[in-house]
Amino acid sequence: MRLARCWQGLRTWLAWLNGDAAYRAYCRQHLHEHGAGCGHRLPTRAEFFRSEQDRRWSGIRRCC
Amino acid sequence: MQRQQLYAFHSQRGLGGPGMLLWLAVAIVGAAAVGGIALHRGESINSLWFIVAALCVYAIAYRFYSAFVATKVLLLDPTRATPAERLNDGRDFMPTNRWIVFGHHFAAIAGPGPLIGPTLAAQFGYLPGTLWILIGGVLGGCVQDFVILFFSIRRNGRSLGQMARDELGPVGGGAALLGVMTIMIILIAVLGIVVVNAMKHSPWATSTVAATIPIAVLIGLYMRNIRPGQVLEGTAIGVVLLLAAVVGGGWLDHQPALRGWFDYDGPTLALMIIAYGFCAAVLPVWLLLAPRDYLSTFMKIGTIGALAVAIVIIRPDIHMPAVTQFIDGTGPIFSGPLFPFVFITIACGAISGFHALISSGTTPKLIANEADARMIGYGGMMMESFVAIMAIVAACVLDPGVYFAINSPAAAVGKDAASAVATISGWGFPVTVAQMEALAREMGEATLFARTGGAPSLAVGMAHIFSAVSGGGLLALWYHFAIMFEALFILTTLDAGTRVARFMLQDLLGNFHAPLGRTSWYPSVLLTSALVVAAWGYFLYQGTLDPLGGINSMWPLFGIANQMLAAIALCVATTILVKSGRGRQAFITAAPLAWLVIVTSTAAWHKLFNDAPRIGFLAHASDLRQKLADGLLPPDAVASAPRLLFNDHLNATMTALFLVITWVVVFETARVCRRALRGGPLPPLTEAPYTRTELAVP
Repeated sequence: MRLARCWQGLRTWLAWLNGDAAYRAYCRQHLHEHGAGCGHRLPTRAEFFRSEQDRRWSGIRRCC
Repeated sequence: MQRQQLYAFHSQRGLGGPGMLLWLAVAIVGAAAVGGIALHRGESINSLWFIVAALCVYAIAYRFYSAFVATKVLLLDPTRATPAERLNDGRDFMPTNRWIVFGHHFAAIAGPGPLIGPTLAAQFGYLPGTLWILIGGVLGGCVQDFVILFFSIRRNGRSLGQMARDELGPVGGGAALLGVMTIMIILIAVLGIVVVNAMKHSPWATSTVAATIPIAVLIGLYMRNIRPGQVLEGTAIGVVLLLAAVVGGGWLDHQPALRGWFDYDGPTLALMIIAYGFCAAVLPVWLLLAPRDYLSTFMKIGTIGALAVAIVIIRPDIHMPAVTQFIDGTGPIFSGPLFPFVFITIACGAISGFHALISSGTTPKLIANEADARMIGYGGMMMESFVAIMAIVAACVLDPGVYFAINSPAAAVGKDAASAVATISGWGFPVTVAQMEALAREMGEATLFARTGGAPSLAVGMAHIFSAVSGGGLLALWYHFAIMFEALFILTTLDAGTRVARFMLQDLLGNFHAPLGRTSWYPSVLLTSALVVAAWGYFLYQGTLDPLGGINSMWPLFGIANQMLAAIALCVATTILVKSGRGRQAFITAAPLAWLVIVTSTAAWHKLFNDAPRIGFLAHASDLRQKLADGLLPPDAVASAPRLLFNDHLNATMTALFLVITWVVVFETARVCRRALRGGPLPPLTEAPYTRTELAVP
């Protein structure tokens, strides 16, 4: 039971670390800010992922 | 909260009686371990001493010194809303769990530097490097990362360059920007040399590293088109393919018809890396750069964790002496005396200016509570310092004779195997040709003589450690796994660094001709990418032609540039402390700053004006010119002399540039601090106003 919880925790940590969880977080923030019937169209997971990749690599992200 | 309230808040978290006894025990064990390492003079010493010493030093430094910096100097305010909360856009700015931010931050700051630097610095013996990694880490590097992260949080996540411009004025800001650009060029070139030397005439290593490119492209396509956004899934597939590539490389190495396709000399490999760097810079990020980064992050964290566990399990003996005779500056791997070159060589393992760019980049925009800055900034650098300790252990478990045979260039020890072992044995580090041939066979390489750069010797050390844990054997597989692991994130740094330098150049050129500044205008992308790649490519190519292997002159240049950047970051931090009325506590950044300025300036002075041709660029040029005039050079050396002379002058110019940048920023800092203390006109502090957090306060 404890092992399963640890495994789940590790998976969640990795999902946050590599960006898997970013789309869910973005949608949550969007709904929090604008509400469900705001009229803004949320990007699909694929659209979000594409725009994120292009945007994230426009600055210093890796060190020596 | 007001300052007095903050003092009260933090003092409530003081130590009780039993806690104090525990910390006393940690201090005694730590002092015994450090004393044991420092005073031991036997044939070998167990690596467990290093692990215990490091863990105790980090624990005490974190518990007491970082707490002092957090509570008495910076006054972290857990009730203050961070930019992640105030500016939350669900993308750049987003309050994030502190363990996730820690993972992001560590993955970003941990590069090849803390692995390569300590491996090279083992030339002086295990002691100087180990002491500097521990002391420089907890008093310098950790403090720098922590304070820059904190100041960036207080300034809405501003970058180091922006903070330098805001707090020091346009001269200091401009010098800082120039410093970042130049370090990027030198960094990429020197890392390129490390990869080239690891792949030189090694079909197994070259084919494995080459396979990482199609694997990254495949994973990029998978994550873009087949399973969009499923990063964990894509990464897992990629890691399996990488491991298959290591095994496949071993098979290919035994196929006479195929191995010739991957057997190249240094200059040819350098040209290939230059071509690759250009392609990586102009291709869309999703195709190569991003998937390679996902893979390298995963491999980096996994392999470093596995190495730590393996060292603790097998506790290998260290065979390198505490101090070697090369502290006098006559070392074969790089030239220069212990002071200042051990500090320049260790670089990122103790303090790295590059970290300040990360601490003022993505990390401050993710921190949910200001109090987390201590764990992420100070703690993240402690982890990096521990990686450096593991690297020095992995290098020093080798017999010293083997270590020097792998890392010494042919020009320093002799071109053939017999003369190399004779020279190295003559230094008091016995090694035989048969021993080196057997080792090369075990590692699946044709030879391990003169494999300079640090990566091959580190890979041999790691292979021994991993092999011992896995029950012995498979040395060749572990060796090439280690090479692939090092090359993977070196190439990621190369890709990412080229792209960032391109953006900076576009930003600069945009001031003269607006379309050149547009990152989406393809002619500008091609032009600026070509200029950046040509700049580092020149140094890389010349490094592979250098009779001393390139690392000899380039690594010190990189070390000076890196420490210069750290000095700039500490200048910014000291200025902010003084301007905000905390001048009495500014010693936390001013003391490491003073040390770095002394070290950087002395090292630069040596590289410029030392009389020994092995150390000073100008002395080398003068010696070469004299030999040329006297007709003492063989015909091939005569042909390459003009190129070597030009390179000496170019390296000297770069060194002088780093020296000037450092001192310009130091003078600007002194000027602004003097005005702050005397009440003169100043650029105002740019801290964002206080807003109370609406998130839970820890």
